[in-house]
Amino acid sequence: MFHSIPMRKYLVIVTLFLANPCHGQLIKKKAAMPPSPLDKIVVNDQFASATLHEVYQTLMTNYKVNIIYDSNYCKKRYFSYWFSKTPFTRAIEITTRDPGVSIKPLDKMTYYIDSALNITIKYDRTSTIYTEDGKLAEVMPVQKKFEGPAEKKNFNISGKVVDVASGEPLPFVTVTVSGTGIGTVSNADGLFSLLNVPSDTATISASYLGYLTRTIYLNPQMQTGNFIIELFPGGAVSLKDVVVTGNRNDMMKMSSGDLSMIKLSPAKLAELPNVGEKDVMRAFQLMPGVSASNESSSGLYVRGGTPDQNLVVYDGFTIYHVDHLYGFFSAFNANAVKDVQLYKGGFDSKFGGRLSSVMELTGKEGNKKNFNLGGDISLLSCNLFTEIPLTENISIMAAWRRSWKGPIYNWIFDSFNQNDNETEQQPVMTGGPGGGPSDETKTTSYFSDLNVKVTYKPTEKDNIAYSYFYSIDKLDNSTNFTAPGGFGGGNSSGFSNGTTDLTRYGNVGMSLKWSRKWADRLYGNTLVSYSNYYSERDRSNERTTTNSSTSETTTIKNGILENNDLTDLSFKSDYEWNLFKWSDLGFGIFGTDYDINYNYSQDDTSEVLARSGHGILTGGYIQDKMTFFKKRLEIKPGIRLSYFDITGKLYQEPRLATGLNITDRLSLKGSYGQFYQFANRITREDILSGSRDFWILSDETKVPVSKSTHYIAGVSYETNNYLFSVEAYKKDLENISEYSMRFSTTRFSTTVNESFYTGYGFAKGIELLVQKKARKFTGWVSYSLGQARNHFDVYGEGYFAANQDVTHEFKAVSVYKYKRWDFSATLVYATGRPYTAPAGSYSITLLDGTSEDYFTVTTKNSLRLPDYHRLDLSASYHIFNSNKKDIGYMSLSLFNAYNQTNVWYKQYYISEGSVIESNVNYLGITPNLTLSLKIR
Amino acid sequence: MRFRYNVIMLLSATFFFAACKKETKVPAYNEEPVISAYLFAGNCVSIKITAQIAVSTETSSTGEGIDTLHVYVDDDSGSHLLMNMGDGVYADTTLMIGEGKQYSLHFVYKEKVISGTTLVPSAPQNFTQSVGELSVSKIEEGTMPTPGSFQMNDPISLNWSNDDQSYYMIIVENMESSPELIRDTTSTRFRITSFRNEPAVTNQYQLRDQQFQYFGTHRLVLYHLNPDYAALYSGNSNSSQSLSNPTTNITNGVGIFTGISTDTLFLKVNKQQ
Repeated sequence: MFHSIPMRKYLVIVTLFLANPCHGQLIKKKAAMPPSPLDKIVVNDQFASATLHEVYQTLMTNYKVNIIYDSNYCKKRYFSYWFSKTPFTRAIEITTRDPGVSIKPLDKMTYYIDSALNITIKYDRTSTIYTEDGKLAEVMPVQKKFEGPAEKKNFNISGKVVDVASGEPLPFVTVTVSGTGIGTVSNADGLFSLLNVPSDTATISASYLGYLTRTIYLNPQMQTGNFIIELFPGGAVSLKDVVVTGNRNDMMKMSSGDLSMIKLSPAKLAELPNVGEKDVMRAFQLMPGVSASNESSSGLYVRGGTPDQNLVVYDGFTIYHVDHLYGFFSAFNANAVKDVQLYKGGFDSKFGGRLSSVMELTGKEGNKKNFNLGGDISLLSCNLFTEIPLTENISIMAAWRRSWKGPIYNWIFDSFNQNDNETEQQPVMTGGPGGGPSDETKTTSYFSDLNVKVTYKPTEKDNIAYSYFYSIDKLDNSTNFTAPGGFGGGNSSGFSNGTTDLTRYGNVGMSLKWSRKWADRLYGNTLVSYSNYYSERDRSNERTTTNSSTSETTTIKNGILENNDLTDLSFKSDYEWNLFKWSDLGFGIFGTDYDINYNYSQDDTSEVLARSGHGILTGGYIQDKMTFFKKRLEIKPGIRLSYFDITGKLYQEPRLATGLNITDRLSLKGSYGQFYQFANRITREDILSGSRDFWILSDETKVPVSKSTHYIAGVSYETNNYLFSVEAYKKDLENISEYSMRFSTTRFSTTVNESFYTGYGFAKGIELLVQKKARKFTGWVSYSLGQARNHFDVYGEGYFAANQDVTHEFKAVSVYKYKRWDFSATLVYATGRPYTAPAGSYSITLLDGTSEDYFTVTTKNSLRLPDYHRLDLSASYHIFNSNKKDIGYMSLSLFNAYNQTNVWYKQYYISEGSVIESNVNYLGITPNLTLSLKIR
Repeated sequence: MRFRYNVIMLLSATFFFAACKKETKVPAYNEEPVISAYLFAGNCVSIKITAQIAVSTETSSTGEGIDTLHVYVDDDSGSHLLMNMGDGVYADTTLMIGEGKQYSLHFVYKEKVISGTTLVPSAPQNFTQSVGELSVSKIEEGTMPTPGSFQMNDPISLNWSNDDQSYYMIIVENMESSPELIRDTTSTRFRITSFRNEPAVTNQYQLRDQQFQYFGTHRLVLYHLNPDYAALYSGNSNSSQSLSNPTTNITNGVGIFTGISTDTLFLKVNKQQ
């Protein structure tokens, strides 16, 4: 039962505990901070198969405390436990949880502590709930509506929304007063303020993706500050038939508040099929408007935009590269992510610096109540996490992941490098297989990442969080040839010759964030962050020789060395001020110091290209979310101002979003906004291995600051079980850049001609979504019609299809729950991407008699690859511990279940006067097995 | 049942979309001619001009020589009309290439002037080798050398002057008409009579025993190159992801028109008795 009995200033939290193995259930109430005076009493008693009646009698006798209980009931219940220095309220709590041997199951038990410190223990035999398969249901407390006169009217409630089991704050939870237009959304630290609650007998509802919607009936005794709402995860099988009306635990949610915003529940990702890892970015690729047909990129192609036009923010710092293993997996460990949302366009003034979209990830803070340890092992990687509540105020979460050279890793790695070898073949002979020397390939490729978050809560109003993220990919396809020096004495010496093909890239990011609730209506957080992306590429041939007579060692390196290093030092201070009932003001300032370097050198002696950019971006924003007519109309104007020191210009980004709820189910939305981008990822045509990306900073001359303007309109109709949504968008792009590097033909120098082409373009489209949100069978079907076109003078008049252009894209995601099983299927169909085919070709005979093939092109992206389609399937079986608690799952996943051959790109060869075209394909059918377990 | 219904719906939707017609455009054939011309100092002018190999099925060009052109090479003495030798080769046996001189090529093809210019690099200076002969043990089929018996010679250092940081390349060629294999165990794909390094901005190269597959006299040719030639090694892609027109120093055409100077040394690889 949910009754909030105030104990002077004591905070009362309603908590659900695990049920015992027998059929019955428990609901209890515990006193949290500050500790009850009863806790000064410590219990040191041992009970073995005692009745609860005996237990309570003993406690009353020994500690002079009054316990009120039903003696008839408690004489039939047995209890075993050894209390050792146990605080008194904790001891009472333990008796209601039945940790011992009860012959009959306990019914729902609760205890109250009144102001006179009397303890009342009650039980309720009538509300036991079982699941369909006869298991005990884990349910939220069923609370009765308060019946009596209200004492307060038009008051404010502020508090926090947390996960019931871990105490982890839950961000972006919608908290509303039922039957009114009053509502709010919790901030990144789970804090919320409900203003002008009409009466203290009103009903409050809190809903969050992946959790059951919670209904709370207020009563005059409840406190209005530090109001804690605990939400119950909605993932466990045991929840599925609990009769709680209107509750859902969706995997994906279109935002009801913001246009073009999608939320995803990382906790539910395991239900989706995967190649080797449950993956946040891959899951977003199943959403309407995000392209799903690019297996070799974890980055998001949102509404005809490129991945670098999508801002990825993790705990406040920007992540510049999200790919692991050639993009087949993302750098984000789903075990470390608490919340993730994607703004597909028209995003808030709080965000900037990108043309297309924003993805905001919030890391887990970790269990604040209990130590936790868990991990996954799959055919791709091993993944471990721990959650440590260090003290009452400090919690630590750490998650680590590393691939191992299992079948999936090798498969992907080899398919890439098979291609590399074909394109890089050089008729260079630097050694031969003599007797004795060895020729070996190193096998040291891997990816790994680490997330650590430390949260410190010095006071009720302050929260300090340090978040650290590290990811690395090492892709090594080097070979080493070693010839030892002779042992026979005389004129002999050592010799080694290595062909290096090493790529190392990764991110190091960290942020320190201080959040403070300055007042009930004013909340702010200030953050300093560091983010570094580095990418090193070494494709060279190294010869080291040692001369035996002179002992002189000579090393010569031939080949290409490439290095990109980006550092982003940022400061942000954001505030939310609920000035009026109808106005929610957001404002803040920001500053970023960019330092971006790119080097390209050939043969360790000559640097052919060195770019370095250093720039500072500073600015501020203000935005007001205004609601009128009982929240039926929402208008959100905002402006963001940025000053970029390299160009010396001030950039203004006006934005406007509006929403009109015609009925409770039907709403119309529209938005407009301007966006600038100052750091660009340039795709360079890598002669040897396809395109290579690197980041450079805009400058006044070669790479202008790019700009986009969004126009979005949408309509949605939502019922309890279905959501229908249509959105149309148009995005105009100005000053977009393309890059090309050419070797110069100047006589005696090794310079390179860089060509930056500046152009313009647009993307437009329509997205349709039907989501089914019923219990056993959930999922969605989406269709996008899109067009992305660019124009660069160098490619001729008119527009050409951008590389990422996909005309039709159809996606279906379905999850079916049956007892402990989750079955899911995802289907993707997409129009083939455009590509440039050669118009002609020729061979040149080189000086040593070998010949090289060359291809010429006339029109860019004039052809399309075959359509892409793929079906993925998965089945997961939930594993329960002896207390019927869901502690993990075993999952079998089948990627590309019908083994469709999807073309990644084409390759061309010249053979006997004709051009041979061959396809390089994406992954065929790929099974994966994952075992995931955790303590709690 | 409901689940099955949903699956059927999804699959039918897929086939519906899969049945959509797609536009299939084929890029036009690239008519720019291919020039292949190495102007060796001390040799006469010889240039090969071919058509590109067609990728489009609408044209059937296989890269054959173009023999109907009026090809001119200009030097400081004036303009020289080259003679067609067949198979797309144009030459002037009287026009000898001089080091340090500039040459220009031009001709008209499909109503466009195709042209290119190059400077012939100076002859390599101070090209030296540390030894002129080398003794290597013969390794017979079925025998494996034991560590104690396996000996390696010191590397042979090849040095030259490179004060102006230009590109050089070494090609080593066996000169024997029927050379004998050093190691009978060498697999067929490694049985080569010549090898090279990459064009590089360097002034030395070190040769090792293992690089030689055959006994006998070898020619060590040092090429002094223009960057145009070095670019040939890193100017091509064959992937549809990154196709772009290759680097060339020909206007309105593709290929290479570049001057080269060489110097040659000899090295004898003897059988160790």
